[in-house]
Amino acid sequence: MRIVVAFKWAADYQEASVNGSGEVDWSRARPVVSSYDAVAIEVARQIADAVSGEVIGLSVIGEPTVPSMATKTALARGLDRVVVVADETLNNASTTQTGEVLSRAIRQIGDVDLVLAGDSSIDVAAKMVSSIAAGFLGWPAFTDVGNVNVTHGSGVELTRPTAVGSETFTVTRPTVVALTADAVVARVPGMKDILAAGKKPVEQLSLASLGDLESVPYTVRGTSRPSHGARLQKVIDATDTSAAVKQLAGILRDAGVS
Amino acid sequence: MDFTLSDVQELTRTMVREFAERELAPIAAEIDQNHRFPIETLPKLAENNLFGIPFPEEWGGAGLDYVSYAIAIEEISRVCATTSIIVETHTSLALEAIFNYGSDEQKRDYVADLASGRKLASFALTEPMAGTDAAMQESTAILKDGEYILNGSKVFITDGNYSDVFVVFAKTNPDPALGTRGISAFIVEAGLPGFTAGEGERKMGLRAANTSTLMFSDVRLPADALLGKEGEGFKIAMSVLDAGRVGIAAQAVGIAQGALDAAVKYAKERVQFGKPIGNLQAIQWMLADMSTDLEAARLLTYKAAHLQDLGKRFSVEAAHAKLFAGQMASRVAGMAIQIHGGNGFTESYPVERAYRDAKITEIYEGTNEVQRMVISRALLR
Repeated sequence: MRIVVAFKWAADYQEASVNGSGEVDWSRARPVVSSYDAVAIEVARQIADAVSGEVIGLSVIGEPTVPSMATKTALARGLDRVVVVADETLNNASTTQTGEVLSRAIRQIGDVDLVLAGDSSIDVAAKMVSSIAAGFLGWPAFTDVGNVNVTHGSGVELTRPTAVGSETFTVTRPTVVALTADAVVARVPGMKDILAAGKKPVEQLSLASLGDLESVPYTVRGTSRPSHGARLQKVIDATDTSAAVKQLAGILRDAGVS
Repeated sequence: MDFTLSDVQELTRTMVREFAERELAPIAAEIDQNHRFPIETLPKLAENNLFGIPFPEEWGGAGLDYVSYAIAIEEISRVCATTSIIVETHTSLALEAIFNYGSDEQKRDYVADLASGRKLASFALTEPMAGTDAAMQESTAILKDGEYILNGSKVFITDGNYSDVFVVFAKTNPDPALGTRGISAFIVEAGLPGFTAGEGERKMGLRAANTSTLMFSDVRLPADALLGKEGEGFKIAMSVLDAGRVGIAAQAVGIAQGALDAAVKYAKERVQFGKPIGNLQAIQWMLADMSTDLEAARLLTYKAAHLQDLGKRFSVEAAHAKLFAGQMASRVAGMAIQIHGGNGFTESYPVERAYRDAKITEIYEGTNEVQRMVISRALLR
């Protein structure tokens, strides 16, 4: 079984700060493997160990060369090898572009049975990239998945929570799965894993090798911290769901949400 | 000159910090307050290959360098100095002695088990009358009918109640004329008839670390328990203590970093005179002095570890590092308490533990005064 884990090498939000004008300052935030993706790597490793599979890390980086710390950090966490699409034009790539690039790279890797990713990222937190990649691939996408089981011959069994319990799916074709942050506890790599990481293969793909992208780039024009308005202190009785929705819509409208 | 850490060294810091925050931080205060040896931590340390960091993979180690090892000790100490001394004495003293001076058979019998953390090891040099003056060993190991008969006692032995293997020093030839050349080293396994360990000491700092007395009463050691050659014991002890001093310097750096981190956090959160105290110049200057002191100690420590990696002599550099880092840790932890004010004097904040833990780094594995002797002798040679 070949599993691809999409991981993001992102600035650590714990080291970001917000200046007086509300702009987020990422300049002193060191990059790390997004903690959500560390969970995905752990799940992939456990599956691969159970079925003698392979775990390939895949990342899109907006730099001309791959930072060795990015790949070694991810490899130490349990990947067998890493494929990175590194290109300066992908700096600040939109979620759509990133999803498309991932999809192209997944096709180029070939024979992929399962794609895992974190449900979110530690910086932008758009929560859409895995679904967009699945869309470009034409594969099913599942988000908010808390458990993945793989058994020989019967596909992949996915469980995700719902408001009233959980639902379980069995998927018998390649699929893209976004995992919740608490799906498993990612292990802390040992010292031997650190040394081994430097000996594992890293492949860099050029953006050009993946063909022309269809998605249109966009530009983030500014960031700000959320304004803290006064809490409305409204409690909605949800016994009658339909009435509750109407009441919520009314409150939002009155609050100026259009 | 390149002060940049390698990827492996940076990763070591990242991963050991994650390990320490996850596994050690939740229990560090509790084990200290209850003087409780963290026995449950040992398998976790082993699983993360933290018991044999600088030893080759083929011998069960992690195959990293001594700078990485120093960084690991630093990161563990930043959160829990007790845990770091378990790793440090096992690695820098006992395992270092067996790996460097053991016969092929001894290395085969012990190194893999110790480097992988399947077994824990202690270093037993200090005696009631042989502390700083380690040459004054009174324990004896007399060869008789092909066996060494070990008698005597040791004090202040880290992990004495928990270790499986001990590197023990004793006089094999009590002739006073021989001096230190009458001292030999032995590998002694726990549980041998006549070998007992006393209760752990209750200490000012490193309260959760086990520090006990060892008693040897006609303990029969096979001839192949001898580590190195007869009469080489003192040389072995002094050699591995150089490595140990780098480890203790790293421990002091880690303790100080933990105290500084706590002080910075407190300075940002504590409001007095209508603003966080970090806005006050008095606090800012203290933090600046602490950071400068700490960074100087860190560089001395990494330099000594780097020389160790290069296979060069590092006795003086290890003494520089330990002398400066130990005193620095006490200063920085003291200033961290000062920044915390009355809160820093309570067990509710980690800086009082840092202050108590820091003190021993000026004492064990060679006091400040011994380090000054090493340094000044080299200057005046």
